[in-house]
Amino acid sequence: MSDDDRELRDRFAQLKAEDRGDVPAFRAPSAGARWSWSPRLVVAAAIVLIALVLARPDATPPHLAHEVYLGAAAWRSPTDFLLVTPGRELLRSVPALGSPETFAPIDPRGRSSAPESTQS
Amino acid sequence: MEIARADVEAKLEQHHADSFAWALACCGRERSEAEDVLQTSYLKVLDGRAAFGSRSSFKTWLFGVIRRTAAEHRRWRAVGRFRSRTIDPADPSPDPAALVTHSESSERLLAALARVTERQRQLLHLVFYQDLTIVEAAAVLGISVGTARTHYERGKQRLREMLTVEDDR
Repeated sequence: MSDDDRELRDRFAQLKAEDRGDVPAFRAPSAGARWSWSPRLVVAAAIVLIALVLARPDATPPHLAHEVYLGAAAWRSPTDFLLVTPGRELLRSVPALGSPETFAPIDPRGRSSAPESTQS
Repeated sequence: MEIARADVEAKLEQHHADSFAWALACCGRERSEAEDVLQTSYLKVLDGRAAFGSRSSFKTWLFGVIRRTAAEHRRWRAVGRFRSRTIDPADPSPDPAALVTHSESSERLLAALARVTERQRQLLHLVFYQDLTIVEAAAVLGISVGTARTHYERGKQRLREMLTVEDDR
C-alpha cells in the first residue's frame, strides 16, 4: 500500500468512526409489514387480463348488441331506387309450370295419343 | 439449503452498521432515504424476494441487494418528483437536524467524494470504507473486475487531486 493510499484509508477510517456514532438501531421488519407490487405479480396479472380479452374477441355487451341490430335494420341505401326496375317481380318469383295433363306425350303422326277402340 | 429467519436476522444485525453506511453512500448521504432503502432491503431478504445463493460472502451479496434497492428508490422518486412538481414543489435540501456533524477533514473528504462520478464514489467507498477487495467491490456493483479497477484508479487519482487542492487552501 502506497503512502497516498494509506492517507486515503486514514481519512475514510476517520469518517467511518464519526458515522458509527449515528447509526440507527437495527430493527428487522416483520414479514408482511409492507406489501409492494412484485414485478412478477404485475406481469402475471397483465397476462391473465390479455388472455381474458383475447378469449372472447366477438363478445359484445348486450346493450350494445341490441342497438347495433336495430340500427342495421333501419338503414336504407341511398341508391336503393336503382334496384326498382320494370319486371323485377319476375326475378323474385318462381314461374308456375301448370298441371301434368298439359304435358301429355305428342303423337308424331298427328293422331291423338288416346287408346284406339277395337270395335268396328 | 434454506437459512432460518433468526439466522438471517442475526447476520443482518451483524452487518447493520456497514449496511447503513453503504446505503448512505448509495443515496447521496440522504439519511431518511438510506433508512428507507435499508428497511426495504431487509424486507426483501427476510421475505425471500432476495435469496442468498452462497456464491459470494453474505456481506457482498447484501450490499448488492442494497445497491439495487437504492436504484429502484431513485427511479420511483424521480417519477414522483415529475408527477408532483407542478403541484407541490418540495424543498429538496435535507433536513439540517438529520445531518451528522463531521470533522473538517471528513467534510473535505465528503465534498471531494461528491465531485467524482457515482461509480467511482461507490468503488472508493467499498474499498476504503468497507475494506472490500476490488473483486468483491466489482461483485457488489455487478461489473467486471477490469472495469472496477479502471474506475477505482481514476477515482482515487481524482480524489487525491481534489484533497491536495483543498488541503493547500
